[in-house]
Formats: sequence, structure tokens, C-alpha cells
Amino acid sequence: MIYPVFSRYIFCKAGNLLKTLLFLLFFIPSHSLVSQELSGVISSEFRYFPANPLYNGQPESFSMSFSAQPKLVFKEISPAGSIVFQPFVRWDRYDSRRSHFDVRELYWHSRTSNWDISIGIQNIFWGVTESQHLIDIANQVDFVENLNRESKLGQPMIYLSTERRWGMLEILCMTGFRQRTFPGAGGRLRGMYPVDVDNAIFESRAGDGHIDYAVRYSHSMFATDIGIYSFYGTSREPDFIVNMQNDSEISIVPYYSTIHQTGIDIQKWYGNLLIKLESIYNKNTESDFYAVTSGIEYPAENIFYSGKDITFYAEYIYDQRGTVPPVLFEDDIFLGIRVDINDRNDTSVNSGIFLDKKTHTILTSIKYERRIFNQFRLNLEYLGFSGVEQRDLFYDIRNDSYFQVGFSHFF
Amino acid sequence: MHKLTDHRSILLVWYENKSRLLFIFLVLIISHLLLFGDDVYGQQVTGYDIAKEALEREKGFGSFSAELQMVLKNRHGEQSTRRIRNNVLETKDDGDKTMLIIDFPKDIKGTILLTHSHKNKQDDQWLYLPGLKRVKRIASSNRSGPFMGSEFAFEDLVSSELDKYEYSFLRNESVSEVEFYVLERFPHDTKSGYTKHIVWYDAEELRIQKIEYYDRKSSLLKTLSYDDYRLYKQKFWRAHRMEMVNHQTGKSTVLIWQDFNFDSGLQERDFSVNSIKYIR
Repeated sequence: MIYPVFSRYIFCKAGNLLKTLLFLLFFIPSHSLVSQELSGVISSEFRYFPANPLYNGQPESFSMSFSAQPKLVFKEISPAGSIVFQPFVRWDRYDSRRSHFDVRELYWHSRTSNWDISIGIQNIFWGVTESQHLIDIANQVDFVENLNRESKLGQPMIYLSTERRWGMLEILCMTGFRQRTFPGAGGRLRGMYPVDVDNAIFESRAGDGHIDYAVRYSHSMFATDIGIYSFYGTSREPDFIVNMQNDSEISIVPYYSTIHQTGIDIQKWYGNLLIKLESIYNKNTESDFYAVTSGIEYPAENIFYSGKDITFYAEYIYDQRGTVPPVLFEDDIFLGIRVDINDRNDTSVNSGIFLDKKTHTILTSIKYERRIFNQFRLNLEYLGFSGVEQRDLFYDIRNDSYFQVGFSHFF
Repeated sequence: MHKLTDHRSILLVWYENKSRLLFIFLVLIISHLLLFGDDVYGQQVTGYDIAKEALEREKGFGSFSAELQMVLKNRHGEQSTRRIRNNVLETKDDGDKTMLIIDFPKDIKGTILLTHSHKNKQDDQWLYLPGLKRVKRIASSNRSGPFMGSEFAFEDLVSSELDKYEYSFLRNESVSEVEFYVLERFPHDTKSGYTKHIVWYDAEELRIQKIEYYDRKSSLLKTLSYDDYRLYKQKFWRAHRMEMVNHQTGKSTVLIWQDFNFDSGLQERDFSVNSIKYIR
């Protein structure tokens, strides 16, 4: 199952850079590697769906999946710098699209007197809010991994950064566009028609070979963090084109437009209270739009001297696009609570609820996590949809609420 | 004086009486100071002075790195271990910069806590989450909760700035021919988990040997003892074993320090927010 996915990846354009880097990796004289370190995680995941599937080909009530993410670090190589290699592979019992391989990171990092330089496949995170990561744009979402969109595909790039008295400057030059992953016909949590990722259409004539640029400036002063960036390139978020072939065959094709996006993030603090704002303005050939995520985070620490920390989150999400075309969250309130027991097992409970102001859909998630012995981690999770209206994007997955047991081994 | 004796008046009588009184008063004060002066002076100032002098002697290290093993024990003797790398940078006019890099347990390996402590304002603190590759600001002014499930609170681990406490001298103590100064110190921070600490310094080198922590109800909560002091660069003493015992729960945590390196060449830049991403 894994091999075809792997080969498909290797021979795509992004794979060319990967091949070059792997090639380089083997040509580093072994004696020049001062120290290397292998670590990583192997995970298993079991999901139970209480409701029946809506579409043909989807598993009845159980699904299972295994994944591995090793990490190899060459700490000090001559002449200078370090190399990180972090591949990822998942096998899913039913969903052939969810079975996939990716290189999360494979890059060389070095620094000059003022600049940090890293070249290769990287993962860059921008943002301050918790409910979603609106401004985070460098990396594509690995959407089959998790609905929370926090898993991201490795992006080949040249990344330069410098931190001075006047602030921090980041310059990104990205090539080898990564398409968003979507569940296949055999997966739950998909739309009525699986997304035909093999026939994606690009606005740019260069297709997925367009070179994208981003520049970000950030600074911290007067108890405020502020960041602003400009991105020009292929949108990470596709639109969808419905193709009617023959009579009844319908396929959904992702369409990636070329955009110019400006993003800002502001974070201000008063004692323990954090006030956050993320906003984007997206300029494209269809219709420009803006979106905002804003809210607060308040940690009540060592509550009643019990050693437990409770953190509260409240955020509001607005997207000017609304329900046409549909986006996951367009006018939603997010309320979250996180409890850290602060025991020897790092036990935590994390729960959140999204309330859609327009369609009244409620998305609930609750996650319990703890360490077992020294090398294992157990997580129990529930993700549920209720009151989903037909015009909501969650309508197709209204029967896909699930309970999950996950077990990970760290090495 | 001479002029005044020429003009006898009520005022002069009063003045002479007053000067006589003043003279007696001065004699009394001087003799009192000569007899009891050391103690009066000592009790009011030495608490602060000892703490100040002890901190003064720690200054000038520039930067260092060390490795730390943390062994958590519960009442039943069950143990679990954490391994952490610690980098510290001294700054000229402000608090220290500290980086804690977690190596073990493996599920939180690569988690990094960066602190820029400040003398006159809230400390800056960031947490690096390796899973998301996200640097998250922590806006916590309160550090009284347990650090990584141990008996140490974060406030027990960070460098103690002089002005964060009120001091008072308690007594001299001598145990098996070793002289100790015993002080009380009271945290100014209202969010601290403690009402006071009692601190034992050895008189010879002014190294902290023991701290007793008193909780919000002013009852004894924990005792921290320092052991195995070794000297670096002919100037800086570092304890290689620290044990915190919680008297109320019976749990304890031992910190074992090793590989102190005062020539690590760490710079300002190694403690920047951007640098977190490249810590290996």
C-alpha cells in the first residue's frame, strides 16, 4: 500500500529536490559528521464511528491506522551547520489516500554572523491563535492527518532569517508546490465525491512549479508582539471545480489560484491575559476577501495551590467569503479549556467547541493524553458534529463523529 | 557661645541646660553603641547584606551550560527521570537568560523553555512545541506550580534576584564546627506559592546549603538541601546535587547536575526567540 504512494511522491516535481538532497546527504564524508542522533515516534490509532457511513466504500464503524515519524539529526557537520531529516509515513486500513508518505523536514541549516540560512524541505509555523492558524501559509496542510489542520506537509524552500534590535526579518523562497491531501473513497470524513487530487488545476502556467515568495517582519515591544507578512504565490487553500463526465460521473477537482496575501498577527499581554489577533487580506483574480481570528487566552495557574493549571481560550472567527464558496469556519465562536494536571505523566485534558453563528453547527472535541511508563503515550479523543445544516461544509461528514484511541511509542 | 555668656537671659539658661542634657544624651548613645552596637547594626542590615554579598559572588560568569538529571520519587519509592540541558547567559543590567532543553522523556524531547528574566518588569517566556514547530509565548507571571511534575516549582529553579525578597537575619548557627548564617526571606511576589523561606548560608563561602519553604498557611512545605559543591574558574561554586523533599506529600525530587561548562561561548544570539528552532 505504501510503496505506490512513495513512488508517486518521489517522481513528482517536489521529489526532485528531495532526491538531490538525499543524494547530497550520502555524499557528506562520514568522518566529518561530528554527532548524529536518531529519535522518533511510531503510532497506532483506532477510530470508532457510532453512526453509519453515508457513502459507498466507507468503512462501517471501525478504522485503524499506523504511522511512523523518525528524525535523524546530524548535529555539527563540517564546514558548518546541521542537517535534519524527518520523514513521515502512514498506513490506513481503508483509506488509500490517507496511506501516504511525506518528508516533513530535510534541510541543512547554517548561520553567518547575522543571518540564519536553511535550505531544503522545512516546516515553518506563523501565528498566535488556537482555534485555527489563519495566517500560517508557508506549508500546505496534510488534511488527511487531522481535521484540525495542524499537520503540515514539508515544503522545499530557501529560508533566511535575521533577528536584530529593530526586529526580525524572514525571507522565504519556495518551490515545488505541495497539494493539499484529501481522503479517498475508502475514508470517512470526506465529501460526497472524493477530491480528484491527481487532476488538480493551477491558475499559474508554471503549474506546481511556480516559485512562491514571502517576506515577514516581526517585532516585540511595549508588551506586544506584532508580525506582518506579504506572500505571493500559489494559494495553499484550493477552490473546487465540479466536473460532470459522461452522464452521472461527477468528479471534484481542486483549483489552485495565484494569490497575493497580506497577513498580520498581534499579541498583547496584561499579566497572565493574552489578547490575540490574526488577519489576512487575500488578493486574487476572482474576488478579494479578508478573514480574521481574534480572541483571548487566560491561564489560571496552580489553581488553589493544587499544582493544576487551567487555561481558558475564547476566539471569534470571521471569513468574508461566508458560505459561498464554503469554508470550514466563516462566522464561528470557539471556546476552549485545557487542564494540565502537572503530574509525573504530563496528563492533560484539552477540549474545545466551535459554534457556528449562522448555521448553528456545533463541533465538539475533547482529548485526554498521558504518558505511560517512560516511552509511551496514550490519547483518547472524541470529535463530534451536531446540528449540521445542509448548507454547512460539515454536512457531508455529519455522520462521521468518532471516538479515537491512540497509542504512541517514542524512541 | 562666648558671645551668649555676655548677655544673660532666660534663653541662655535654657540653652545651657539643654546643652548639658544634650551632652549626657550623647554620652549615653555612644556608650550604648560601644557596648551593644554590633548587634543592633547586625540584626537590621546583615540579612540583606549576606544575600547581597552571596549574589555578588555569583556574578561575572558570563555564560555556562550544564546537564541536569531530575529524579522524581513518590511516597512508595517509585521513580521517574527527566533529562534537561540548561544554558544560561548573564546580562549586564537585566536578569539572566535561561534555556531549558528537554531530552527525556522522549515524548516531550525537543520541548524548549526560554526565559528572559527582567529586574523591573514581567519576564518574557516562550515555549517551543516540537510537534507543531511552534514558538508560543507564555504570559505567566505565576510560577508556583510544579515544574515537569517534580517537587520544584519554576520559581525555585530560576535565579533569585536580590530585590524580589525582603530579608531578615535570624541567627548564627554552628553545626559540627561549620558556621552558618540563617536568614529569613519573604517573597514580594503576591503570586508566589510561599510566605517565606529560611535560608542557610555557610559563613566561609556564602553558599546556600539549605532552604526551607513555608506555604501560604505558613506551615513547612518543602526542604531543599544542596550538596557536592565544586568550584569552577576558581570563583564559581556549583552544587551538583540538590534534593527537594515535600513534607506534606512525602514526595521528593533529586537534581543531579553534571558537565558544567563555563567556556561554552554562548552569546546573546543563542538565547533569541529565532534560535529556538535550531537547537538540536
